[in-house]
Amino acid sequence: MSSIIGPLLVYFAAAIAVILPGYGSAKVVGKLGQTATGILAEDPSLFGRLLILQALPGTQGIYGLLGWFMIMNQSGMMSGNTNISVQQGILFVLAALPVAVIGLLSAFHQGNVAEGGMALLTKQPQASGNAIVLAVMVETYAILALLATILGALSIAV
Amino acid sequence: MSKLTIVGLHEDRADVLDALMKMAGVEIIEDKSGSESARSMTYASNLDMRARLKRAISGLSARFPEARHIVGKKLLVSEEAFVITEEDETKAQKQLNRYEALLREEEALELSLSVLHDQREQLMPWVDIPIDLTVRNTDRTTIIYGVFRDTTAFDAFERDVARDLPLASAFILEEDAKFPAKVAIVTIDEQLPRIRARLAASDFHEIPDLPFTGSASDTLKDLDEKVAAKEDELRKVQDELREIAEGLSIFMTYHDFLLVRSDKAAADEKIHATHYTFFLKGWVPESDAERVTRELTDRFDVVCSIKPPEEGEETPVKLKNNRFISAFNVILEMYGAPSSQESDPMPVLAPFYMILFGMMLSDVGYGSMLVIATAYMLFKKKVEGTMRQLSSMLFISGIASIIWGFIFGGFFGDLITVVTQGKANFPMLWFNPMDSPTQLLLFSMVFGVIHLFFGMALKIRNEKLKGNLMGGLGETVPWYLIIPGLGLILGKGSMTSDPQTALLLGEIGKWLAIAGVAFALIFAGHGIRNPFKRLLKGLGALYGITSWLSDILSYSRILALVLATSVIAAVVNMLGMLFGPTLLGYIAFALIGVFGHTLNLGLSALSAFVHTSRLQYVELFGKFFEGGGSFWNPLRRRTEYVKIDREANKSFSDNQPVEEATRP
Repeated sequence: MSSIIGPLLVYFAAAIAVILPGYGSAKVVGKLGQTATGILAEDPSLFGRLLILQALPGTQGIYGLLGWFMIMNQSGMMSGNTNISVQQGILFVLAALPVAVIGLLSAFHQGNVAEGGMALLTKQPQASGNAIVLAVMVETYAILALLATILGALSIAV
Repeated sequence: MSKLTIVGLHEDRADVLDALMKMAGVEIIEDKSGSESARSMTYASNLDMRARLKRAISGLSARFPEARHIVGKKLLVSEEAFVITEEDETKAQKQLNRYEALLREEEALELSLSVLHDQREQLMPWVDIPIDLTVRNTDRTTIIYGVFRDTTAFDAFERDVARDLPLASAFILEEDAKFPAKVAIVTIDEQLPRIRARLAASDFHEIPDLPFTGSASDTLKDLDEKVAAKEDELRKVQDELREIAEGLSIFMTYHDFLLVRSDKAAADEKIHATHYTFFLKGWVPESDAERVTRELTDRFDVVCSIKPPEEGEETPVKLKNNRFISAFNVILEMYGAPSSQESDPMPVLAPFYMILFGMMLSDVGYGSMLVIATAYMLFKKKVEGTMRQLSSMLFISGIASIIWGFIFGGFFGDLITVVTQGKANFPMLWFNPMDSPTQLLLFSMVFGVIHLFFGMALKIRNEKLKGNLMGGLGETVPWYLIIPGLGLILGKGSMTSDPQTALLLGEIGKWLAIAGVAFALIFAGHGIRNPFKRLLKGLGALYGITSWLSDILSYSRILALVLATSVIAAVVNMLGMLFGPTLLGYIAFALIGVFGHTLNLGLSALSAFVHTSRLQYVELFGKFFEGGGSFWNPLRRRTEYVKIDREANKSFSDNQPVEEATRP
């Protein structure tokens, strides 16, 4: 029985690393897309700048995938190893938490900044650089969480 | 920058402005607000005409490939060709009016054509009936043509007519009497309302009301003639439109001419004038000041005076750097201009932008794709303005990506390993970040520290420019000692395996850090006499360690982005190889690879661009940048579609090349 629980926990850890940030990114990128289409109706020339702003909160989803990969790789389950103890499984779940939770939440917050940036572009198209940088400030915390997950997963001996 | 004052005669005012625009060497200082009065009638009509020209140009270039060819690149016109007389102006306006009239004509023709086609369509079923369809009544009778959908409706109708309306009859016009059938109903006029009422109740469709000229086939012929005539007319209109498209350069030149005229009018608003003279002030780069003065006094009756800006006066900023460094100007422009009182951040920003971008997108394959794409933009399409700056910046950064790709051994991730089933690996010069991420984390931060140290060097230079060298050193030198000291203490273990050396390194680090702290306590409060306050100021400065910690940690994003690039590339390769190393498998691999790697390049290059910018703006600039300046924006002929060829006019050929890019 315990031989099943270990691998299950690793799968669970890898899954939440993808699901939560992915959900956050998808939701926010979708919302920004709606805002962008509204602006494009007025001024189609802004497309390139709006696209960048829309893409910014999409990185959390990528970080989630990266977390998934790190967990699957470190646990050896990518190459078929199922010999994982319950304790190791729990550690992997804990290691997945930073990117899962912060990835989800930071996507929402970054989305709010990016949406403000889009509104800024309608008034001042040349301020796109500033809008991007303001949105990227939020992403720092997703990156730090990803690093915590990566380094955490790597520190688990399998 | 020097301040240039020009005083001249009223009659020269327009010519002097023209000359200044051609030279593109002076930014006029605005010291009365005249933006409102600039919105006069001429301004409005100029704007309106420009909008119409723009619509015409984009409309024509969207339709005719020959016009698209003309608009694709900036049109080179000589100085002479850019002088547009009133006559040319009327000609261009006439041409524009003609274009707009043709568009309306075309629309009307297309509408009537679609009506004719519709009528043709409706007539088609009747084409076999050889009856003259114009004959619809005699003296006492009326004929109704139409279609019965099915036989039951027709039978019921015929039965009812035979019973109630004896002076009417229905004939099926086709021999084989197949339903739906064309039918002619002949009735005496008195019964017509009742027949109509009966027909309305059954499944009967009367022949549409068309301009009949005889039998259906005759009418059809007539319609065809009409269609041909209209089509002929349409072709003529379109030919004329094509002719206009071929002469599109008139519109382009005229548009830019109007733009220059509008800019000139706006500049004119900034000039002070009396009844006989005018007077304007502007910023001119020191190196150009004499040339500008000479040229103006040679040609016009003007008096110029040049004086340096007053102590501490904020002037516009013009960056002077070589081509490599100025390729990165676009990054600084996105942030904002430095103050004229501080040193140029570009010599530090440019090389580090290249290095950090290269690290984040460290892949030989992706770097090459980026280099090829931007080289195409630069050398083949010859893009202009901001696009050119961005392309040359990404071109250089792409080369850095290739170099870092060799260092970390990345070629589209692990493409070589996957394709050869592990028989061959792409060689790496240093280490693989996937295998030893901690090592890369360490080096990311080391690069960050070096980056920040260069930023602090600029801080010292800025303080020196302000005459406060000692204060600048007091703020920076402690960190030059403390950070390496702490680095040695924390990292001694990973630098050497020999415990004796490690101990020694730790000892060196400890004393470096202590020296740094001591330096801060003594010199950070430079200029403060009260020793107690001075000590407190030093302690306060040491609190800055927290900001240093977060700045350095921020560079850990390099590791995250390196891993993101290579992991996604590895996932693409893994998906591609799902079908195994067979012929079919390799075809699938190529398809998935092209799609996936292009997508990853887009995502990773965007991330690298954005995050490298952030490291410059937040971490580097935080160490020294004051900002609040504005970029020097000389009065010049701003053009959108044409490029004025200076060589064609020798009187200004001694001008040094001035940046043509239009800044938004």
